[in-house]
Amino acid sequence: MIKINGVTKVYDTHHILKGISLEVTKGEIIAILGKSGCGKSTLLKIVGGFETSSTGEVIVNDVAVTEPTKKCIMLMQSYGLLPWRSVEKNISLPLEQHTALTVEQQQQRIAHYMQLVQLTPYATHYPHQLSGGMQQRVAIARALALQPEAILLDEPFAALDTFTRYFLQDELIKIQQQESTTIMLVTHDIDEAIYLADKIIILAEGEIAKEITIALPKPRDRSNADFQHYREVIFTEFELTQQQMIDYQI
Amino acid sequence: MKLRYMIGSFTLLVVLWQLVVVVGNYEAALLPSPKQVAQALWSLFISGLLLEHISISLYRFGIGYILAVIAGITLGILLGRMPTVWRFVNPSVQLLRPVSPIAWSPFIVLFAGIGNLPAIIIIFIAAFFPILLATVTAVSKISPVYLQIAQNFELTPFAVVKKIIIPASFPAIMGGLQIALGSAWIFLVAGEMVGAQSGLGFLIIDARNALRLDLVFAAIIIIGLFGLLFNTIIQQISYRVTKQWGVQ
Repeated sequence: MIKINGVTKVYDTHHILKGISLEVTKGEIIAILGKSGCGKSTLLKIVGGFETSSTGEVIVNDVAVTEPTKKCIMLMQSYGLLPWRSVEKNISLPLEQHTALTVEQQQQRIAHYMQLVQLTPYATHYPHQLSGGMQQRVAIARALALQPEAILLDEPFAALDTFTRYFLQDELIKIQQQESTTIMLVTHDIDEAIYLADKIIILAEGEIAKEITIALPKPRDRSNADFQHYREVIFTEFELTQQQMIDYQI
Repeated sequence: MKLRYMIGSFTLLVVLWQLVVVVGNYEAALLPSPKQVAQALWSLFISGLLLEHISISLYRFGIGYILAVIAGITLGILLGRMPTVWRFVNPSVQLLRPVSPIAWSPFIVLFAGIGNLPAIIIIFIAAFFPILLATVTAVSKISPVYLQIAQNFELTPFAVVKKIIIPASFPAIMGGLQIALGSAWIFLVAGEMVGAQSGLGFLIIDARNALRLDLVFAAIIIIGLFGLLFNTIIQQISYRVTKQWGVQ
């Protein structure tokens, strides 16, 4: 579905990405994990068409990505909700001109996605009246309303507290299972990557350092021994010390 | 602005005015008292002259201001989205902006004659620059995230302007509209003093020529009240919009 073929990105003389090749199949959740500055957000922007690669190409459903399109919707860390539109109107934005849907069909679709993210009672609320977690759910519903081929998430829950983050991670899995949406997620949260992803790509200094397939059923149990095993594999990959591992688990 | 403060403030102003008249023992022809001005206002109202002058002034003001809003916002959006072009246009705008619209009046009267048009042109000039500058600034400061979303949803250029650019810059444009409103109303009176035979500005000049300072004061009060009314309306719109959107 998404094919990344030998993508490089060079700023001045600095190589941000060094020949990344990757395939994401339909309905898969893939997490790009790495330290700050490893190029993970740049890679996501290139997949979304917001940045161009220096060499290589990204292909989504056999079409090369040259600019942002509604096939791949990117969810920003800042949610990107329009403050002058209510929840309902934010979700309706992408539907207002592109689809061949009638007004009634649009309303049905908006209602469906509002219900999916449990925000129906907040339809007429404005973004500033919602919590960070609710705003993120509106952004997810707005992206889903277009029924895109893929959703690209750039550290989607980084600004949220732990409880909201866990809640939204569960919600995301439920929604993804219902809608079979392909998700490409950038995060620096190891647990988040293991909890959500079918496959984790560890990026280090612009290269793929490791690909890990997470063969655990969803929803996953963070205290499970297998979960812990994946955690240790990733910790080892990042060369974290035993003490850092203990601190992290605390 | 709360009504009780407004009433208190106006009462204080009238009391001070009356005090100056009494203490200074001024003749009515030099400084009319509040009562004499109220009588003059009533006589203007009864004769129908007041409404006639107000309506012609409002007509000129409305046309000039609306044209300035349309031109200022349209050009402001275009120039705000074209920073390179704006860098060339901006010096000329900054050169023309501080020139009082009245300074153009010899040319305006020469080309437009007398009547409604000179006053409308003066109002247009007075309102245009604040709106243009506020719009350019607002548009150029729109969060790139909104534009990325528009790009991602493949919105058409028209939809981007209608659904993203105008609402995103609206609170800041409102500031420009408010400044322009005050400026335009001030220059309406000035414009009617130089190139018109009717309107509130003309009423002041005409009353002064007839040495009727009570009528001059009556016109001043009406001008002030309308200025206050316009300002309150635009402030209310701005307040409601920013409150609803949660914009600071």
